[in-house]
Amino acid sequence: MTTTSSIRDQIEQALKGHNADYVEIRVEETEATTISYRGKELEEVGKTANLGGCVRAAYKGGWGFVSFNALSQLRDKVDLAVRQARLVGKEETKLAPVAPHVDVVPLRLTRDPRSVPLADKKRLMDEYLETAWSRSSKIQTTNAAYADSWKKTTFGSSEGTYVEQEKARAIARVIVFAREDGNVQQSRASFSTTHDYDALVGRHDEVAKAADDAVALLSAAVPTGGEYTVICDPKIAAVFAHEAFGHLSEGDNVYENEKLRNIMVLGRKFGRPFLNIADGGDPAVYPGQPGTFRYDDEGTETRKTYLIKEGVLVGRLHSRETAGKLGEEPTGNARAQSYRHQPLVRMTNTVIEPGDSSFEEMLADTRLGIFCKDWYGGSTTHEQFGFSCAEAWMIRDGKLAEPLRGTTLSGNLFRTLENIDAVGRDFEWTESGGNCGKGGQTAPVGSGSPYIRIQNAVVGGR
Amino acid sequence: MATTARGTAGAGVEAADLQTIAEQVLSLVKSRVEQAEVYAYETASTPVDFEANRLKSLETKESRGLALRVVKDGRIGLAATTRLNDPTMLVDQAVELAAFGALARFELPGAIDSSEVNVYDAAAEALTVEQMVALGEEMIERIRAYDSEILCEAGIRRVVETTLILNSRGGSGRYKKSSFACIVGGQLIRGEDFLNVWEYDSACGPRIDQKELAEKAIRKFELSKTVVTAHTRRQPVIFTPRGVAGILWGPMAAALSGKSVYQGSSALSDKLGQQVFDPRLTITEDSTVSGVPSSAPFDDEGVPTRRLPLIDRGAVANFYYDLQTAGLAGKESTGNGYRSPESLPGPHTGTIFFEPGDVAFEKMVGGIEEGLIVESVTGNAGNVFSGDFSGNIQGGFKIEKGKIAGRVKDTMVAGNIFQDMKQLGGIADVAEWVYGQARIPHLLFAELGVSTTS
Repeated sequence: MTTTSSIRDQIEQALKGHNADYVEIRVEETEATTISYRGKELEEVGKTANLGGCVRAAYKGGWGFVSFNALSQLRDKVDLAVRQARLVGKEETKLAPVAPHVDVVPLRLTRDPRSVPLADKKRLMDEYLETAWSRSSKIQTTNAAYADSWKKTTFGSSEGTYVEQEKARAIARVIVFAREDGNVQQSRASFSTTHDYDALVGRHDEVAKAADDAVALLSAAVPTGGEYTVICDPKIAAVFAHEAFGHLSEGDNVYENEKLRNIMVLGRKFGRPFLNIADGGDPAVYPGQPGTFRYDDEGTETRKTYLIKEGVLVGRLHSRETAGKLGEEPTGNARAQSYRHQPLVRMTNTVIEPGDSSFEEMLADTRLGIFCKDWYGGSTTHEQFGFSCAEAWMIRDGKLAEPLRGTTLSGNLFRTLENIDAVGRDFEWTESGGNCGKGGQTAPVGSGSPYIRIQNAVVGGR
Repeated sequence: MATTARGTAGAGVEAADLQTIAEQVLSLVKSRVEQAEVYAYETASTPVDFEANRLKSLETKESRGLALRVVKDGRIGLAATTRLNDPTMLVDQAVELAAFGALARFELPGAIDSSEVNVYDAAAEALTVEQMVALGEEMIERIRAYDSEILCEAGIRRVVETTLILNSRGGSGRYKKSSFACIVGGQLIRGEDFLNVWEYDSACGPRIDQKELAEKAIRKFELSKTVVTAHTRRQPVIFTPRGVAGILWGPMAAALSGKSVYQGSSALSDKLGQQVFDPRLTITEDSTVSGVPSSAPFDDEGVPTRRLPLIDRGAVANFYYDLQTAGLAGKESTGNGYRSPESLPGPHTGTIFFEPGDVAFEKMVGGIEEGLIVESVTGNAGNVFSGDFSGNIQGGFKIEKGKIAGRVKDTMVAGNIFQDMKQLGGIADVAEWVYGQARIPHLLFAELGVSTTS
């Protein structure tokens, strides 16, 4: 094991004297445990212990990046990154100023997943599987997994920032497959925590519900395609905020794109006055969420940033470079998947803030519509986006009617936000969290929202 | 065999070191277990990325690591690390975990045949960073010459990797793979209309026609400039080769996986030998084809790759297996055991070939009064095992009176592979390489559900 003090010394030595505008070094140590099942049978028990690092250098606006597993000759790696940056850079390095921090952020865990015996974790998953399989003879199979991970990031920059940060996460997931003849449907229960193993325990009822939902989907119909009034549960609403708007608020999309900058001009009205969307990684604002951390991967302190306030575009997410080039303040949104990647501007925890409607009220005045609950995934090309729902029901005359399967929603940025005509008052975090993919990197993100209602959403169908 | 990137003087780790460490791990663990396998890898990648029309960054990424799979008292244990200085920890972890592991249903191969499959091209490794930068600049200049309003992005990526497998039954194999990929595209914003186009291709060597790749992007920009409105109704839909790969192949591959067949989550699990798709549809996996980055002489367990018919004239011909799944199912591994270093091997496909049909693409389009061409969708991430697909069309065009009329927006397409592919409208007579890992023709559906804004 490499000791902390020696990593700090190595980083500080390697950063002494360089031929660039800016240099940073990130070293990551990770440990992970995985338990996975195929059906009721255990498939895999594995442990991983990794160490790796990277150097990133800027010179006249160009970047050089070197990643490695062997920490020896760190100084040579700095030189290589600087040489690469010098090959690229021809303009000017503009990084928004950040006061140097020297900080060691302690990991505060209620119950550390790493301290729980493997046998206990396995027993928990066995119980959940027993629960799922007991619900119906139509349960064909299950895919289940438990995983916990710990990561320590040590960051040092040529500007004097030195930060050590630790993060932990544990996830338990059961996907249930129901089958009737050639018809195969699935539903899932997914639990996640950043600080307490016990948050994953005792949730048999939710596993049972996933099993029941998979069976119910066997008799669900595919929707008839067309435009509908759609009510989104907090999970779908949150992924909607992420895909429909969050990505376009990322500074790297606009900082070198004048046309997009003219469209995404601060002060532009996007939604009705009760629509508020924010993003933030600050532990004091959104404690314990998957996208929560005190410093981003450039050593910038995280904060909460309003993207839309009272329907109006008021802010965007930044790295030091995108903030520097746009003359705005860095927001602590530069994140890298691992030491193998350069940081990208990306969301942390994205929320729609509560309004004053209730689900019952939204339902009551919807004559023909679709209620969507939980998601499989979503994506965006900025103007257009789409996401797929895990469960859905028709709404007929203000009441939930028949269940639907395979429901996919789409929309257009410039119309759909304006078409949100109700925002609920009860806010919920999406516990399963999920990962966001961008530029070939994935990152855990948090998301939360109340129920929302959207008019004229396009729903795919036969 | 140093994988040093010329021009960037990458500090490549000697592959001999990796071999020595792998042998050391194997000799440490051998006497403590019934079977053991060391999987070791070393990669060097050199991406050159262009953003907003100009060079943005140069990278040198090196990684190496080991995974150890053991069978002790009949059970499987797995440990992986990139800390190569502590083989004892790796061995102890794998052995300890085996007490909790699944029962092993396989025997590791006693000999690994590195047959004739060649996936390494020295020309890729010899390419300098300056040459790679020039290739990217050339593609961007070509697109900017067509329309300077387009904000271009490009990437030239070279990866060289060594895979090494050693096992306690005497199996030993290693091979080197190179891949060279080009991506080019851009964004054109007019008013509040965003048009994104990109093209990607890869091969083992620097043998991609950059000019043609840029020209393809230009043709797509040109076709997309006119925006037309589709109608909400069932209509003929052509999937481009990329559309087939990105939308239809996922649920097909999931249904043909030996793992989902064994578990019964595949709708095809009881359909071996039966006609399930259009009788003109024949799909074969063949990772023995050289020069393709998705090919390999053997899989990540040392089992040789082979030519494996998956769908033969519409009938299910074979499912694909890794060693453990094959053992559970009472079958043989088909050489499809692939893995990430941090997990056990599972069934995955390599290089895929769809047999071409008999209709020229132009004729296919010419025969459609009103319909769509679909290249990609957003939001299609549903239950793959149900066979349903659905999404908001991104790269997509409307056909009017036998001609491509323009790009569609705010339009969704939906269907189900098991229902809508029983009888296809036609298969084009040319199969095109998609992303350098599959050869696929255009497929025509006589009718699919399409919905759009009114």
